[in-house]
Formats: sequence, structure tokens, C-alpha cells
Amino acid sequence: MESEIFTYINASARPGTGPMEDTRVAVESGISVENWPTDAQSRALENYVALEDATLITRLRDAGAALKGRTAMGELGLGLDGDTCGDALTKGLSDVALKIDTTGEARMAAAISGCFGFKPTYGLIPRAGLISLIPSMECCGILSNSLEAISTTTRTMGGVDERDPSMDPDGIDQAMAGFDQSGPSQDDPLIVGVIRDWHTAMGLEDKEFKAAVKKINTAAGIEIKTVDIKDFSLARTVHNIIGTVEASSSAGRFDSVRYGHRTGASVKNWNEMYIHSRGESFGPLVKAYLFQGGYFQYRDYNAFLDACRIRARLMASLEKALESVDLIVLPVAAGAVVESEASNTVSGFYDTFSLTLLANLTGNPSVSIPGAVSPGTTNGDAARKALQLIGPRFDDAGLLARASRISDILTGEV
Amino acid sequence: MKYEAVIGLEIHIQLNSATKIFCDCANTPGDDPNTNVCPVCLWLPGALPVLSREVLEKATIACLSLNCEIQSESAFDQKVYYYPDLPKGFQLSQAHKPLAKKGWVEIQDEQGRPKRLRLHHVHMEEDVAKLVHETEGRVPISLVDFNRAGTPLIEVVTEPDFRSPHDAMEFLKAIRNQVRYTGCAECSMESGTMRCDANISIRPEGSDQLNTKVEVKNMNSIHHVGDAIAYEIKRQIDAVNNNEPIILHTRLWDPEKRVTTAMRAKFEGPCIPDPSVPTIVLDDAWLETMKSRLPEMPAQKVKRFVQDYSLTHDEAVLMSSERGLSEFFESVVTHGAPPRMTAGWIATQLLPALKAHQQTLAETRVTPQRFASLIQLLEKDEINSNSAKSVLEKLFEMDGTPEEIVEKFGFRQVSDAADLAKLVDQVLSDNASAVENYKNGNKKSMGFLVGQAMKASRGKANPKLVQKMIKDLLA
Repeated sequence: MESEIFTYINASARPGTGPMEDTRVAVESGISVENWPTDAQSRALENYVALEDATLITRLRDAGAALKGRTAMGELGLGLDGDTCGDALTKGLSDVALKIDTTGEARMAAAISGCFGFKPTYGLIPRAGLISLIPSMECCGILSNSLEAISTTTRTMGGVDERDPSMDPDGIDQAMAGFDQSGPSQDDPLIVGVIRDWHTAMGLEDKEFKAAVKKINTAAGIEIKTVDIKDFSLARTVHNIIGTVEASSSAGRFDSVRYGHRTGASVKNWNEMYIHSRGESFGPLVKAYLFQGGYFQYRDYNAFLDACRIRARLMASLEKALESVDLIVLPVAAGAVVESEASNTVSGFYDTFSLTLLANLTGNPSVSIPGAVSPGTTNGDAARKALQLIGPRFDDAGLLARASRISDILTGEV
Repeated sequence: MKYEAVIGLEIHIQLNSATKIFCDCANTPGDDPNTNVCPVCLWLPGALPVLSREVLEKATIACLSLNCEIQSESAFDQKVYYYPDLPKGFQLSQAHKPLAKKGWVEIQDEQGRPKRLRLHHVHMEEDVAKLVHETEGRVPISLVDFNRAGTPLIEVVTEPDFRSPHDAMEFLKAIRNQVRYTGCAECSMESGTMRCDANISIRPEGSDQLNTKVEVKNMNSIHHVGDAIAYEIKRQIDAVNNNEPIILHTRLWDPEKRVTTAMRAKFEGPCIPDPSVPTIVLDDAWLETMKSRLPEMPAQKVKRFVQDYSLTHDEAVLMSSERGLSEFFESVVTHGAPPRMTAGWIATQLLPALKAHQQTLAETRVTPQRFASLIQLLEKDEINSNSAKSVLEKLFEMDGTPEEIVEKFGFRQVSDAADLAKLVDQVLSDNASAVENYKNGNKKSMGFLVGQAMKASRGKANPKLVQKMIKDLLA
């Protein structure tokens, strides 16, 4: 069974000592682990072995965690085609799974497998050693059946790293201090925000979501408040433009010269070698994604500039909304969730992740709480039943504590 | 129709920081291939660039020396192109928000009048890897050396203010001088630490239109830049006169054939903001610190040398032309040597001697102190200038003070009339015809007679005294 879930098993995995000594961690192949195959599930990185640990891996080792092995993932972290990190948890093979979240992948994978998924504030966990296509959105996401384990893992991996200059040291110190404080208690008044008209603008259904919100509202001390997020309905397009443009640049390094698959075709010059190698390496979703990015880079740069401006407005608008509420609740998915490989298109990809991508654009922390999942539940139903909570940047500890309270309400444990 | 040229330059200067711009690898691209490399400058997956503080500081100081306005906010962009010397597919460069804007340097135009040439901006960027093409053997192969990948550059982009090869060459000398003064870069076109591309177009004289430009690359000396521009201006004028269109493209200067040849269509790829290198925010206090690290620049130094040392303007310009030279000059003066004599001797004797010995001021045995003693001996008439030249030669060859050398080799000047009387008499009797000529009014004969006396004294006689004695005897 292990070999169906893990693409690489660490034969020498054994716990050390420290705060994570009882924790087995599954690591997808987009996160560098020294001497492990690190191909981010792409032929473009075929047989690539990382030369050094990602900073977050070093920190896990130091905390005594046992690194179990590699789970399968979508190519270069894009989408969930073939992903097995949720299975590693549901089959009891690991306690925590790490998965890069650039569009909502970690939260979605968690929702589908009925566990919790957390995307921390952008920059809280060092990015050094992560391989993804969208640097301005990539975060190491954490999946687990236990919010406490997620909290401990975040605390272990977080904190300023001199290898990652894009971190905001003040914010990160504040976020890390949050894990040392007692945090919000189960009896504190809690204001939960719901984005006005989130579903109508995107033509989505909100029936199940309404029921869940109603249930939360019945709990003592909780108030539901409607908030306005300007340009919320544009978030998908903005992510599409910025994400593809960054991906087009980021994928430039997959040139087949220093690592990865190189074409066997007989070629006349290096340009032909690039074209053949890349053509043979990338799968259909990555190819389509890179094409779109190339289009905006070369043919419609103004669209990219507009997208950057709207992104800044979305960040400001979300920050303002979070001044009047403690957190915002949204479904993990609504409407279509693409489940089969056949529909591996950019629009299908964005249909699936249309609601999770907001937190990637703005850098806010977001945690997904699974709905009731039974053996017959489809991935789409599981995602539609799951909720995600979005909190203020650098209040990751507070968000996780509140997620625990809301999860208890939803499962009737309060 | 008469045409004039519109020329703008793009100059890359390699900074001499200890490390590369985004990693801790040594900034010594000439080492054995691929020895100064790490995951960052090889751009392995997962590696993140971390901007070097030293590079930022040196780039800023270089910009200050070019009278630029340092921007309180600047940022790196990804300049996208695919080529084997750039294996991550983009070059980190400051396309949208450069470190510095504006700026100027002053040159002298062809008529010797001061002319100010304006910079548009100066930005930082990383250099790319170096390709080595092995064309021998059956299958030609291209090798990539990553030692140069990630070495720090500043790119100086000028306004199209230049009208002639002269302007461009003087400009290059001026910025080389300014930036070298700061100690932040070597700026040698010959060794590739300064590289210049020229953008050239032509237009009817007196118009202010900007026509399609042609980019010319591959000039590895300042003279080549001048030659390439001159050639290209003529080529374009000929083309227009033959009704051939000027197309935007890049040409290579061929120093052997002395022509430019078409290389490729000029490629302008997209530039998107880099998400990993944070925006550079500089505050006033930091900028003041950088300004305080800017040395006294040549223009100020010339003024001071004229004022404090009574040098002529030309002498002061020469003594200020290199920072090391100016410091040497001042040090000699501080050791007590008279300034104008020092400047003259540095220019006419020391610099040629250094060249002959293939030495620099920094490494030569002729220290300011030894050189000052030499000049003082000359000033006090203890040696004559002939002997001084011999002593200078000895200073290159051996240790010891000039005084010791003078004693050891008997260079001391003979300034005693009694010691010289016999020698002068002998010269006058041996050269009766010259004596006759002198008496008949040919003043040039005096020079000949003094020369003969000097020769007879094996260079040690005091020539002024000899001249006086001959004059008196023949009066």
C-alpha cells in the first residue's frame, strides 16, 4: 500500500527528539530534501536529486520529525492530478503532509480527503527550496487530521530565514509570537465575515454554504457579519494572469541542459533542443498554463499591469474587511470541481480553485475545515462541503485556534 | 543633404565586490571554469536570490560619482530571453525601477569647450554565463562557464546626446575615470570589466527627429568604439543616399576588417517584476553614509591642486587623472618635495619609467618617500637632472635612500668652480671653432660647449655653473 501512495520511501526515516518527535511527515516532491528525488512530478526535472534541504525541512529534522517519503503531486504543483498526499493521511501512513499551495492545492487536497489543510501567511515559512511555478503566491501548505499538529508544524517551520529575502521580518516575528500566546478562547465573542454576493458574481450556488453558516451562527458568542470585498469576482482572472506570467518566467530554467529530460530527437541547434525537450517534458495543463503566461508577457503586458493593480486593491480591501471581523468564511469550492485528467485545462483548473485562490493572491492565512466525508462522497462534493477560513496576515496562530472552535461547532461537539 | 549622427551609449561596468550579486560565490570570473558556482548562480530549482549589500553600496557610490539621483525605491525585474548563457530564462535587471536616474559627466568637445553629456539612468543587473565555443573536432560544441553568471554589473544608459565618435570616446574616458576613482570597479574595456554598446541613427542636420537606430556591439577598446561609430555613421548615410531603409538590428564591430556586420534582429523581450528580490528601499541616512564614502573627485581635486600647490590647470588635470596617481603626487609633496617640480618629474620621468618596467604606482619600489628625496636632491642642486634620471633608474633596481645611491655611485654634482676650471679650459681649447661661432653671435654654440663639458665630467658637473664659467671666459 505504501508504494501506491509514496513515490519514494525514506528507508531510514526515524524520529529524533524534539517537539515533533512523534510526527511522521510526508513531503511532496516539490519541496527539496537533500539526496531525495525532487522532480515536482515533472519530466522537466526527471531524476533530479536535491543538493540541499529546504530550510523548512532542516527545521523539521531539528525538531525530531520523521520524514516518511514522497507523495505524488500535480505537475510542478499545478492542480491535483494524481495527488496522493491526502491518502498518506487517511491511510494512516503519516501524521502530517506537506504540499505547496499556490492556488489552493493544499486546502483542496485536505478537503477532498476529509482532513484539515492550512496555507500560512505568505512568507511565514521560508520559501528557500520550494519548487513551484508562482513564486509570489507559493507557500508550504500543511495537511493533517489534527489542527494541533498543523499548529506545531507551522511553529516549527516558520520564522525568518536568511536564505529567503522576501520575508517580512516584523510580521513574521509577530506571527511567531502568536504561537507563544494563549490566543483566543472558546468563549470569546467571535465575528465571522461572509463576503457579500460572493456567489452571484461568479454564478455559483450557495445552498450548502448557507446551511453551514446558519449552524455556526447558532453557537453562543458568534456573530455573522457581511463584508464587502471590492473586485472579489475578478480574483480568478487576476490570479490567472499573474500566475501564468510568473509561471512562464519560472519555467524558463527547465532547459533540459543541466537536469531533467532531454529530447532524444536529432536536432539541428539548441533552440530545437529546447523546443523538443520542453514539448516532451511538460504535461497538457502546464503547457497551456505557460502558453497563456507567454501571451501576457509578450502580447498583452498591460493586462498584467492591470492585474497587479487589482491584486493590490484586493489585498487592501481584504485587510480592511478583516478589521471589522475576526475571520472570513467561504466554501473551499462551489460549482464545478474538475475531477478527471481529461479536463486538464486552464479554465477547468480555475473552476476548481476559484474560491481558494483569493488567499494566495493576498497572502493571507487560510485553513480548510472538512465537511462530512463518507466512502461514497465524490471529490467535488467533499470540496463543496468543506469550508475555508481566512484570517488577518501574520495572525496564523489566532486563525488556527478559531478554526478549532468552528470545526467543533460544525461537527456538533459544542 | 547634410546628416548628423544621434548616438546613445549603453555601458556595462563590472563592480569589484567580493561576491556575486545574489549569492556568496567569489566574483572572480577568470578562475578555472565552473569553480565559483552554487545553487543560486546555477539557478537550480528552489534557489532564491539574496541581494548583496556590498554590491548595492558599490553600485550606489558609482552612481553618485556620475552625479545621478539615487532612487529611494528601486526593484529588480525578470528580463526574459532564452539562450544557453542564461539558463534560467531571464536575467535579473532593473528595467522598470532603476537604482539611479539622470546624472551627467563633463567632457571637452572637439574645440576644447566643456560639454555636459547626460545619463538617462543607471541600473544594477546580474551578468550571464560565458559561452565557450569549441569549433575544432568533428562536432562543434558549446561549453558554458558559470563563473561569470551572477557577477554584479551596473549598466549606464545615456541620453542620445552624442553627435560624434569624439563625444563617445571622451565620455567613456570620463566615466571610466569617475568610477575608477571610487574604487568600485576597474573599468577596463580591454579586460572586459567595461563594455560598451552604441545605438546610432542619423538625421538631417538641425532636425530633432529620432530615426530608427542600429545597435553596435563588440568593441573592446575606447578607440574601437570611436572607429565603429565612425564606420556606422558613414554606412547609414551611404544607405540612405542609396535609398536603402535603416532597419532596427544589432551589428558587430569587426576590429580586423574594421567594419560592422549584421548580427541579428534586435530583440526586446518582456520584463516582469521579480517576485523574490524585495523592493530596495533606501533612506536618507543610508544615502548620506554612501555620500560620505565618495572620495574627492577629479574636478574638485584639480581645483585644490591649482590652489594649494600652484600647479597649472593642465598639470593639475594630469596629476588628478587617476586616484592612485593623485595620492602618490600628494604624498611626495607631503614628504617635502616642491609641487611643480614633482608634477613635472612624475609626468616626464616616473610614469614613462613605470611603463618601461611594467609596474604600477601601487606595486613599485619607488615609494613616495624615496621619490620625494630624489626631487629634493635635485632641487638643492646636489645632483643635476642627468644624475637624477640615473638615480631614478637605480631606485627601481635596488633598495636604499637616494642619498645613499648618490654617494655609492658618485652621482653628486660638481659645483665647485675650482674643480671645474681645468675641465672647462680643456673643452674651450678642444672646440676652437665652436668658440669662434659663439663669439660671432651664434648662441647655439653655448649649448654645444656646455654639453661637451658635461660629457667630460661624465654628467656630474653643475650645468648652470659650467655655462656661467664659459660665458665669463668668453666675454
